[in-house]
Amino acid sequence: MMTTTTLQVQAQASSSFAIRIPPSSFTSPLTRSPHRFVVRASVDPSEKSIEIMRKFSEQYARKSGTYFCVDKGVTSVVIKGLADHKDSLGAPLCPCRHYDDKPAEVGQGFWNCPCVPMRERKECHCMLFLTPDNDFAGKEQTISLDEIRATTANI
Amino acid sequence: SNPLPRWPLYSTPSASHALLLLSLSLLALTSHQLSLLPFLTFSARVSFPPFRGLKVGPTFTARSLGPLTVTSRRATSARPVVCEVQDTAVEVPAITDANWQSLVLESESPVLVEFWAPWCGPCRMIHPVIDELAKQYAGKIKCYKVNTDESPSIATRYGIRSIPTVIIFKNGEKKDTVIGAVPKSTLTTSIEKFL
Repeated sequence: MMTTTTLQVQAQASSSFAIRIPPSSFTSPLTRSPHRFVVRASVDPSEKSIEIMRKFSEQYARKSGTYFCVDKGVTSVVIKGLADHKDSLGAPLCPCRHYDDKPAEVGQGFWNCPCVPMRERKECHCMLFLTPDNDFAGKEQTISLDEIRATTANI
Repeated sequence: SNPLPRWPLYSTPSASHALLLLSLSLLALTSHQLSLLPFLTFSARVSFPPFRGLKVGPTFTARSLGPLTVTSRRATSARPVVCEVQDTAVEVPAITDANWQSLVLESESPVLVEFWAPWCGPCRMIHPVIDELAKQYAGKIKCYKVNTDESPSIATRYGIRSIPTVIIFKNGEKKDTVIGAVPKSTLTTSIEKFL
């Protein structure tokens, strides 16, 4: 028997073992699994925002001569983080920072992607835009929506 | 006459046939996680245990459609069904405002706390490193994770700015801070100073 609760990571699938017997009024005790729930780190941002930030990331990487991380999962998570802030705050605030007052930061603009450290010194601690000399820099300046979905599917 | 044993709960032949079909199809499946098999006996009372999901391996989902056909679909992904968060919860528990005082400040051993955020890319890179450190130094230090989105007050209290940040506490005081997705060696060097 399992000692810990099993968390099933399936977006919309139900894992109930249902048997329906048409004429009888008897209902199986398994019509609904009591443990059907989904665990996600957070709710996904909107598809539109993800697409906008994806295009922006590709374009800015080209423009700045930087490359995406070898681990595209990191790139995908950051793109989703930017999309999430764009949805909630109206501007893509850097997802790898902690803020006391997010709307104020958006107004101030220092940490709106591309942030000032990136614009001035090509420093991206989110590991979204990596200079070619960085150990983690890959060779690509593109990322597709499928890649984003695939690498963030287990979140 | 009905050749099948009489099942008082299922009064119609079609139901009996369907359950027979179900049993046979389940028996045909080779998945060793199916703990339902021992329960499928042709006894007068047939009761199925609640389906709690499988521990590891491809998922088995069964649906009944219309006239009782059973479909089983195996997840094609090689990933285990169990969410990684579960491992985190077992190995490196999450801390909130409620248990911060007792678990971190009043802890007798040094405490390592990782401040992370859901959509931070580098955090994903050091989560497994922290898990390894928790195993490696089990008993010598305690390891915890703080989701800065869920517990912003703790993050603000210790002046967290860049994420991920790892802070080592001893006797309730912040002793060392490591910022960014650093390699494991950097963290072990820091930890060793306080053991």
